[in-house]
Amino acid sequence: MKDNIMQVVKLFIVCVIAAAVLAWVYGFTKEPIEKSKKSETLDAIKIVVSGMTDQMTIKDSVISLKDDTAKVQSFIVMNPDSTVYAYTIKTYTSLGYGGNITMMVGVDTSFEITGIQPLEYSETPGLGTKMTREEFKSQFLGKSLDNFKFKAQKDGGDIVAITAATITSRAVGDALERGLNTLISNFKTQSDTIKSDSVAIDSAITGEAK
Amino acid sequence: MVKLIILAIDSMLISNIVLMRFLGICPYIGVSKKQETAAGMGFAVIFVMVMATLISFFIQKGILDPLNLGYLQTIVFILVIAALVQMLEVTMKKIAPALFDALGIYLPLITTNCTILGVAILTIQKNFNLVEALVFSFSTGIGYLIAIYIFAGIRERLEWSDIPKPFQGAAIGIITAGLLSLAFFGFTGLVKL
Amino acid sequence: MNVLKKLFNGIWTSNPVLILLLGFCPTLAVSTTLKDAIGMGFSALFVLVGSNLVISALRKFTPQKMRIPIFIIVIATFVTIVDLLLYAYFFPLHKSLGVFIPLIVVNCIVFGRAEAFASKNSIIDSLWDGIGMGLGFTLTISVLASIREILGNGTLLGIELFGKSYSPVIVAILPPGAFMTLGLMLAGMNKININMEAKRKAREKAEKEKSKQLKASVANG
Repeated sequence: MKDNIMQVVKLFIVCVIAAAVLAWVYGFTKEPIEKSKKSETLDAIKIVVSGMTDQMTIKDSVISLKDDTAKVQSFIVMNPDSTVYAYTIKTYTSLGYGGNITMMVGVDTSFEITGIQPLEYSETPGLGTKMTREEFKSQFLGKSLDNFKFKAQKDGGDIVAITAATITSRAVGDALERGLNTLISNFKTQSDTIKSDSVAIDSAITGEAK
Repeated sequence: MVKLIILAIDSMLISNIVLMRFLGICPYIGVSKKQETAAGMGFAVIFVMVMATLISFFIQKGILDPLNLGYLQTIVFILVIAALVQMLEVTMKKIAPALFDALGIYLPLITTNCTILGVAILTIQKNFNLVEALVFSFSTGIGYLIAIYIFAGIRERLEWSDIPKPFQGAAIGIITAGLLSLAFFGFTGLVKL
Repeated sequence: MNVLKKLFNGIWTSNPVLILLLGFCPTLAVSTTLKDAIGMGFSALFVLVGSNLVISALRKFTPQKMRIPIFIIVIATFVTIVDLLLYAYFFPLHKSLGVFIPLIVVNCIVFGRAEAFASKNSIIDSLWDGIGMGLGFTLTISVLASIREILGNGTLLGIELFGKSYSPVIVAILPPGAFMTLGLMLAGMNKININMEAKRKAREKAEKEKSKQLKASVANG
C-alpha cells in the first residue's frame, strides 16, 4: 500500500515538473509564434501587392464570398493619407484535384490582378503544385474580369493550363474569378471614397508592413 | 449530409491513413502475416480510434481551449490514450469476455499505434465538429481495416513464393505496400470536397 | 574509439530504421524533400537525446510499475518543446512537418531506446546512444529524401539539377514511391550485410585452413 502511494506521488512529481517546464517554454515562445502566424499572411500580402512601402497600413476585414455563405478574409492596403492602394483577398476553391486550394490574390484600385500566391493546397506534387511557379502565376498579372476569361483554354477560356494538371488550372481560375467578383461587389462602388470606417473592420494590423 | 458522406469516402479510400498518410506503418507491417490477426487488429483500431477521438475532442473543447492550455495537447492526448487502452482492457475482460478474447491481445499494441494519436490531433487541427469527428474517426478506422486486411491477404500468398534473399522480410513487405498504395492512388479525384 | 563504435552502432550496425525496423511512419511521410527530412531528423535527434538523458537520470527514481507513464510524459514534454521552438523560430519547416512533429511521441525509435537502453544504462552511455540513433535516423531519412527529391522533382535542396528538359519520375515523390524506395533501401542494406557476412566466413575459413596447413607442415617437417 505504501509502495503504491509512493509510486503515485512520484508520477505526480514528474507531471508537475513537465508542466512547469512546458509553461516556461510556452512563455518565451508565445510572442514569436504570434508573430510568425501574422507574418505568414503579411508575407503573402507583400508578394501579391507590388510596391508596398513602410508607411502603408493594412486593414483586415471579413467579407462574404459572392454566391456563397462562406466568409473569407480580405485585406485593404492603405496609403498614409488613408486612400486605398490595393485590395487583397484570401479566396479559395473546392475544385482542386486534392480538395481545397486557398490562395491570396492582390488587385490594384482598378481591380486588375497584381499578384497571386497559393497558400494551402494538397495538389499532386510535381504536377498540380506547379501552380506555385512563376511561369504559371505570371499569366494573370494585369488581368481583370473584363479582359480575361478565367477558364482553361480547353474550355474556351484564356488560362494556359499546366501540362497534365488541367483540373488544378481550372480550379485556380475558379478561385480567382470568385475572389475578383467578391472584391468588386464589396468594394467597387466605394473604391474612390473609401475611408477607414466605411467597411466592417475587425481589427487592424498596423505598422507591420516592413 | 452529402459533405459527411464525402468525408467518409475521403478518409476511407482517398486519403487512406496507412497508404496515403503514412500513419501506423509499424503495426501494419508487424501484425499482417495472417488475415485473421489483421482483421482483429483492424477492428480493435476502429474501436479505440472512435473512443479516443471523442474523448480527446471533449478534453480539447472542454478543458484545454477554455484554459488556454493548447500547448499541453500532445502530452494530455497521449496520456488519455494510454489510460483509455488500459481501462478498455479491464472493463472488456469483465463485461464482454467474448469481445476481449477476440480483440484483447491487440489492445496493448494500440497505444504505440500512431494512427490513434494522429487522428485525435488531426480532428482538432481540421476544426471538425462533433459529428464530423465521429464520421472522420470511424471511417479512418475502416480505412485502416481495409488496408491491413488486403495487405495480409497478399502476404499470406507471399509465404509460398520464392523471394530473393535480400528482399525477404520487411523489404518485400514495404514494396508490396507501395504497390497497394499505387492501387489506392486510383481513388484520387473520385470525389471533390 | 568507444564513442566512435557507439555512433557507428546507431548509424550502421543497428540502424534504427533499416535494421531495427522502427520509425517507418515519419521516414516515409517526411521524405519528399531533403530539407524537410533534415528538419525531421534533427527534431527526432533532439527528442531522443533529451529523453534518453532524463530517463537515464531518473532510472533509480522510477518505480518499475510506473515506468511507462513516466516515459510517456518525459518524451511528450520534449516533443512539445520541439514543437513550440519550431513554431516560433522555424515557421515554414513547422508547417511542412505538420502533424508529424507531435507524432514523434509515438515514434517507436524514441520509446524503444528509452525502454531498451536508457532505463538500464548510465547517463553518458545513454547520451551517446541517443546521438548515434538520432544520426542513424537522420541519415536514413536524408538518403531516402535525396533519392526521392532528385528522381521525382529533379532538384536537391530546391536547386534544379538537370535543367528544364528533365521530366521527373513523379511517382518517386508520391506515396507509392516512398514505399518502394524504402523497400529497395532495405533490400540493399540486407544485401550488403549478407555479402559482408559471407566474406567474413570465407576469411575465417581461409585462416583456419592456413593454420591447419601450417600445423601440418610443422608436423611433417
